[in-house]
Amino acid sequence: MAEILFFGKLSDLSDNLKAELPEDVSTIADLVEWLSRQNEALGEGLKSAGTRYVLNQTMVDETAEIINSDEIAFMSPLSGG
Amino acid sequence: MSKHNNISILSVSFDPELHLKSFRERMRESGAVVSFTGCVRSAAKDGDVETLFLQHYPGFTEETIDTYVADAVTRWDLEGIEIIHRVGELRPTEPIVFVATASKHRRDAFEAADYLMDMLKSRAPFWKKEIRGGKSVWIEPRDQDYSDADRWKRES
Repeated sequence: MAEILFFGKLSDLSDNLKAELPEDVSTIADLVEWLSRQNEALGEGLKSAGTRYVLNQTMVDETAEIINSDEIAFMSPLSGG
Repeated sequence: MSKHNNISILSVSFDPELHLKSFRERMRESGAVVSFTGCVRSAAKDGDVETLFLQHYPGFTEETIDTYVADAVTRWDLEGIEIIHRVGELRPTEPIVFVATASKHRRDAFEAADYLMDMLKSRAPFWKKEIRGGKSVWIEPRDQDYSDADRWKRES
């Protein structure tokens, strides 16, 4: 199971998820498409400017490869402390 | 991290004076101690904020702050750093952030505290929602916060 986390504005659009990734989801970009098909509003949020991706606590870009044991976080633009 | 550097993310209210007191006791051999406390403002420009809600990414947020602490240690001659940051629900006037630095001489402690606050205000992974008049709005750093952080860019 992959753990999918949402922070900031994105956390209003979806709860954190535990999901079995389908076979055709192998990158962050694929995951965005897959999530968008299930939740249109979340899809728009994920594709909006400034969304950042964190894979197993390290910042990555959308081409990063993902597997079922990963923790993947989608972060809205930071607010700062 | 040095044994005198601490980062805490708290979900309950804290007393900055108590933390300063224990930091001073721990750093009693330092010649200079600087501290900063940031609180939730009681009135914002478009209506009073009733509640502030702060979110962080456990683990990742602490790691990110730790990189700024490590950077501060290379820039200034520091003997100790204490950072406390609130998350969860906060009310106006409640302390939200506390930064204390200790060094041999004052300039290092002043500048490092200033630097760490600028990093916390615009680069640390926190998300903030203001609730006013029953409506909630996610907020982003002000332009001033970004330009404050840019002051510390090093010539490459």
